[in-house]
Amino acid sequence: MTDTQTQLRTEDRPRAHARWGWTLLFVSLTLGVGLEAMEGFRWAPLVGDAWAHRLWSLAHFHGAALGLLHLVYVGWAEAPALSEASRAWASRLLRAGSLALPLGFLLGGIAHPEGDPSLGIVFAPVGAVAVLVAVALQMLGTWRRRG
Amino acid sequence: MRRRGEGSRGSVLVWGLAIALGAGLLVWRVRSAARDVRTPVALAPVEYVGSDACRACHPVHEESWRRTFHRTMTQEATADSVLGDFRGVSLTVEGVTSRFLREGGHFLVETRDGEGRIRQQVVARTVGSRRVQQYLVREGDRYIRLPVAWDIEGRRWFHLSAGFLDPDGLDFNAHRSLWDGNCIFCHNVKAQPGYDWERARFDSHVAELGIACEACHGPGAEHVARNTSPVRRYYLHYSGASDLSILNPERLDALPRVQVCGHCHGQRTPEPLARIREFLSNGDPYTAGEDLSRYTAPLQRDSHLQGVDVSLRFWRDGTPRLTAYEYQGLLLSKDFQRGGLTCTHCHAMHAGDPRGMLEPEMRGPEACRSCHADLVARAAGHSRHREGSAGTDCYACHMPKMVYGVMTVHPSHRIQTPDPSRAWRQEMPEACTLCHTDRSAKWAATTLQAQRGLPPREDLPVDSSFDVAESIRALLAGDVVQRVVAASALGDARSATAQPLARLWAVPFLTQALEDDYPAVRRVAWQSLERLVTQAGGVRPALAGSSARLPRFDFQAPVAERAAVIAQWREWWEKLDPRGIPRPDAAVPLDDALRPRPLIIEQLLRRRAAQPAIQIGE
Repeated sequence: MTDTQTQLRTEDRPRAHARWGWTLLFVSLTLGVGLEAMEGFRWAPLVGDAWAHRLWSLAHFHGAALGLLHLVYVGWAEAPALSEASRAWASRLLRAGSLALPLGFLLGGIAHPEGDPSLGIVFAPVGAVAVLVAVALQMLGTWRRRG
Repeated sequence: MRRRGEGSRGSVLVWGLAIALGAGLLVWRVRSAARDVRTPVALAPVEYVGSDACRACHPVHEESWRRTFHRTMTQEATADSVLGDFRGVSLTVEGVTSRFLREGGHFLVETRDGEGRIRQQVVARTVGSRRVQQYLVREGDRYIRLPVAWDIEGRRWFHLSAGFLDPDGLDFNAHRSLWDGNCIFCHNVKAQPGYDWERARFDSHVAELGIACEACHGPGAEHVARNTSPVRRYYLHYSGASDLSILNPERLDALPRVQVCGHCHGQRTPEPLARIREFLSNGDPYTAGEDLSRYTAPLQRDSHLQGVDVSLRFWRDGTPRLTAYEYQGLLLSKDFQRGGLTCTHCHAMHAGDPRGMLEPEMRGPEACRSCHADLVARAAGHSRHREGSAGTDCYACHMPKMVYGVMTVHPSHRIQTPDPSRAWRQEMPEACTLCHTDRSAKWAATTLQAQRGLPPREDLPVDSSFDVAESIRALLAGDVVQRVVAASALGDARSATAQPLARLWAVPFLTQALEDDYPAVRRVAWQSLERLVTQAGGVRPALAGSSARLPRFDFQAPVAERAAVIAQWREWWEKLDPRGIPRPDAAVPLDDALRPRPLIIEQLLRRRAAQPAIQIGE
């Protein structure tokens, strides 16, 4: 990777997270509105299925919360306390995690067996770990002395 | 740059190793889960955990069970479970006045106790929640079932002599009985009376009150423990493998499968009988899925039980005539013997209407289609009845309503071919004349022979009573079960005659049955009478108006009170304009004014009087 490319990636990172954040918020809030409508109209496949209801609500909530996290992260994407490699890792993990975690809940509620989410739920813990590591890296950066 | 490349390769290696390790661990766990799932678990020694433990993983099944009357078979007495009217109302039967009261959270029954005193007792538990709710009080080490109960559908208190088949004049406390050594076995999961034979004391326990998950699926502790592993659960979900740590009755062969239900829906005795001591001390050893015959034998017509005439519980051909013998009925059916028919072919434990535990389509010919598709497709031709009529309903001919229990007449669970000669050979009801209530058994036998293209029967009875409509002969001259079945048939929705006025001829005979000395017969006769008059009133409003002014009949009221009500109904019938009321077949002993022919009625009643009185307190 050339210095120019690195420079470009670095400059793009806050923008990328802003895009991720707003997109996630939009998708998740749309899902939330959809869930509320389905609940309002007592759509049987949702209200009659406690697992789907719970999992899709979790997908909506996590998607929205992670969208906000991306928007908060815009201000921290270039935190000088972290090395470029760590910043790149944190950014990638946050993006991967914020995709996998709500997706896992969403898929988990589709065609699930009685009493358990469907296999798509495996994305949720993987995503959760990715987000957790990203947050841990940022946390460590905030505790480190600048420079 | 070189250092960065080395670092990148290192992290790839670390990630690669971690993923490989994780995948290896997962494969190992899946393989051990597969092995574990395939290993049978002996269920008998396993602990019971209760239905609450099932809810987390089986919410849909738990919810569907929660709707059933199985769940509410036995309950602690609470404001939610108690259905009876405890607002200070009273019931007087056989000179004993019982009162039903509430004090705070307690439900009290003031009635005659076991020593003949009137006293108040606190209701501890309830039994039943669909048709009848019985009440248990605690006396020392045991629970006692009271002889007065709540009729849920009729919304009234009654004495159990009207629920069972007892004549008037029975000792008030004849049905005041011990719960711990009797009812406990079938109305709960894994009953253990804990009887101490030396101290003559009970210490009863049940795994769960009512009929819960483990009654049919076996004890669940091992199943719950093993399925805390998500890998095992997901292996089961996606492999389609059976989990051998719990019983799924659907996977059993026909006999052990019907035995799961037959454990309660088939009265039985310990085998050998002396084993009753073990049952009372340690409990019923049967666990769902086992061979029931290892522990008990189903009661049959020829079974011997000290002090009890078991034969009264069966028709003379061995067909059960009381409920809780459905298992015996099915065992006698060729559909089970040759076709492997089981209870769950028709009944659904987790779907459909909790009343009868049947899905809607199973209430009609559809129930038979999976085995008899050709017959169902040509039901009219097969049954020789008009397309769409009650006569094309398989149940009407092959499972006629001739079984009494819990204050209602139910379909027989011995699936048989109709044979009207059973009326004179076995003194039992038969399908044809339960619908064609104005026809004689001889007519049914002759007609059926002709329809089948066979020569006339040579064994037709010479007894002239068989020239009378079979429903009337049975209602007036039959034994108590015949009478209650006939009384029910005369008012049953399933009938050869759909026109309400054309069924009204039965009123004077049902009025006669209101004088029966068995309150159960009086009760069913009154229900039929009321139904016929109500339906006829729908098409002739004047009739509805005049009958509405008459007093209602109370099957357990004092004799004089009942007689006064009967007299008014008789007078009403005699004054009724018979024009427009279709005449029944000549086999019904009515004169031109639609009044019963006294000579024939007398003859039939004399036949009944000549029979020994019977009591079926079950």
